[in-house]
Amino acid sequence: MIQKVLINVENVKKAYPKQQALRGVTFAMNESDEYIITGASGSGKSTLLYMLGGLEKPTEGKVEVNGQDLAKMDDEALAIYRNQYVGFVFQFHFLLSSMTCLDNILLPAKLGNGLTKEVRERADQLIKLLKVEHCANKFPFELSGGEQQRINIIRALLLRPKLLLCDEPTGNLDSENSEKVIELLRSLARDFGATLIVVTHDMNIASRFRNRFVMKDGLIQRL
Amino acid sequence: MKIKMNSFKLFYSLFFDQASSRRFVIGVWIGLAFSIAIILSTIGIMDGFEKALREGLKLSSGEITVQSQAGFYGMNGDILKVLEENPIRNFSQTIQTESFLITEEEAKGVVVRGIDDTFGEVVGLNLNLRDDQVIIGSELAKLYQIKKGDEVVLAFAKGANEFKNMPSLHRFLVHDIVEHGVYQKDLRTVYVHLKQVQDIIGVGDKINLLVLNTTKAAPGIDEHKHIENVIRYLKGQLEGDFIIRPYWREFSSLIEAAQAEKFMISIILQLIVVISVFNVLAFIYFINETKSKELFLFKALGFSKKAISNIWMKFVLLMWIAACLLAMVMVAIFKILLLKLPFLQLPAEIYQLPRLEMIISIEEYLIVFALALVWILIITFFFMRKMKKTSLLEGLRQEFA
Repeated sequence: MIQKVLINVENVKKAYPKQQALRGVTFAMNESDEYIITGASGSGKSTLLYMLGGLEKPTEGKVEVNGQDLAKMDDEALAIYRNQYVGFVFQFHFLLSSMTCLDNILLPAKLGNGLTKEVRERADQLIKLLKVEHCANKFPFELSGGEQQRINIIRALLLRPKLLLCDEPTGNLDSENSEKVIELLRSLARDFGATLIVVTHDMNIASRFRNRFVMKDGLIQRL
Repeated sequence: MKIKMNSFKLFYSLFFDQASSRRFVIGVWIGLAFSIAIILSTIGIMDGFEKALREGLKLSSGEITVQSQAGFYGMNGDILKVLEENPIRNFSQTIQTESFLITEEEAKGVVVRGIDDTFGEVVGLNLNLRDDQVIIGSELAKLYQIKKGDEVVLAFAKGANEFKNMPSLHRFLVHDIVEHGVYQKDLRTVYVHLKQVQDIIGVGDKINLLVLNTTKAAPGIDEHKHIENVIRYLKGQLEGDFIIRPYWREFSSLIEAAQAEKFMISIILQLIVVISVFNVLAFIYFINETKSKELFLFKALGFSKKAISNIWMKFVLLMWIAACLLAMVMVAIFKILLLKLPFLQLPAEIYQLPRLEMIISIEEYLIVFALALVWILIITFFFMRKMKKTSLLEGLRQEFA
């Protein structure tokens, strides 16, 4: 089966005032596939991930997702893209401590097009699937690290994103939980038909993925 | 049914969930309100000073005074005809001369006003006098502890023909004590019956000061403008070298100084508003620093930079509205304190008025509020522009570095 190219990155550079994060990155990724990007701290992998998620713009080059150049999209269009098209899973969970876990899960829908019955039902299904029913009405600080990460994953998948971007999703977990989370992400991405991109410096996790990239000094290489 | 969250509400519940944030924002709010209240109070005091001074002056001279460069003059038919033909409500013939009030130990120079029953109607004071009676200013009475019913001695120079002679001393009974509200007037004025003064100084039935009030100005015409117009008519019609002045001329330099000061101080005090606006920005900066994770999350979940900037703009506008309301409350409190607290009493010998009332017009409120808004918008605009250029990701990395 021929897979459609979802992401096409060409000669992308990103310069911060004190740092050149990306020095000319070129690669392509297919729809509904899974990818892992490894590299040491400061190699530019998170910058690249957030660029694919429309949170950062390249200084130079082209970042095409589903045929649309993100570099040419305005702020509003990128905000819609992030809400409707992308799901983020962060290392630090970023769950709002003033809200219950359920409210945290429903946040993308409430901030975007609004909470529909369908989205609410999907939230319930995901909560059951990830076995965190007992956490729904609790506050994030009452949960373990693994539970928090599962809530984080449910929130990322709530609006059925085409692109699931994970930044060190196992960074705060022990090896047993790390394995579980990675397997969960892979299976959910498959079920949802989403393209999964995981950024990590954990080589054990990297070895599980067929499509592997490594980043060094702002440059990318396919392994 | 779709439920769309009020992002503004979310933002606020998130950012004010910590006591430190709440304390900070309350401090910023009070600071901004206080700076606005200071400007309003300054303007109010200056306006109050001007108004009180003008009213005090009116109480001693009516709206217009007419003097002759020749000194004493008689109220002939021509003058009366001019007064009849112009919008003059009432007038009173008076004499203003100088004298010494002699007490047991010292003598003080005073202004003696020779008045008749019509004078009280013109100036709005209750001044009924008979021969051998005087009414003295309140500060003068306070200075020499003179009470109603006391006897005072006034030393007059005699009429022009007998100027070289010794002064003539006259005893009077203090019939009443009067307060004009202007320190110098209350310290130096002694009212004596007109006929008696004319007899003492020997000028017959002549006077040297005519005080008068104009009829009410037509709707929409400023009172001062109206008085100035009447003065212009009188100057054109009265034959002879008459000096015709509005009531505020006597302390015009003081009034002009107050107006100039009001303007200058209001400009200088804009600085404290600017400082307060920087406090508002400091709060935004504080929130951006302490809640960078949450801001990053909002962005990742679909908030645009513009949406975040708009929320901050709404926040500063809310701060401005809240500060304006609080400033009005503060001004009301200052007003009461200014009238009640003894240490807020003015040195009357310098400012002419012992106590000031704050008077602030609606226009002045609006100008001060609008200026504060202009500062807030200008400074916040540049701050937001700078913030938009800063990479949130970069800031977040620094936090977790």
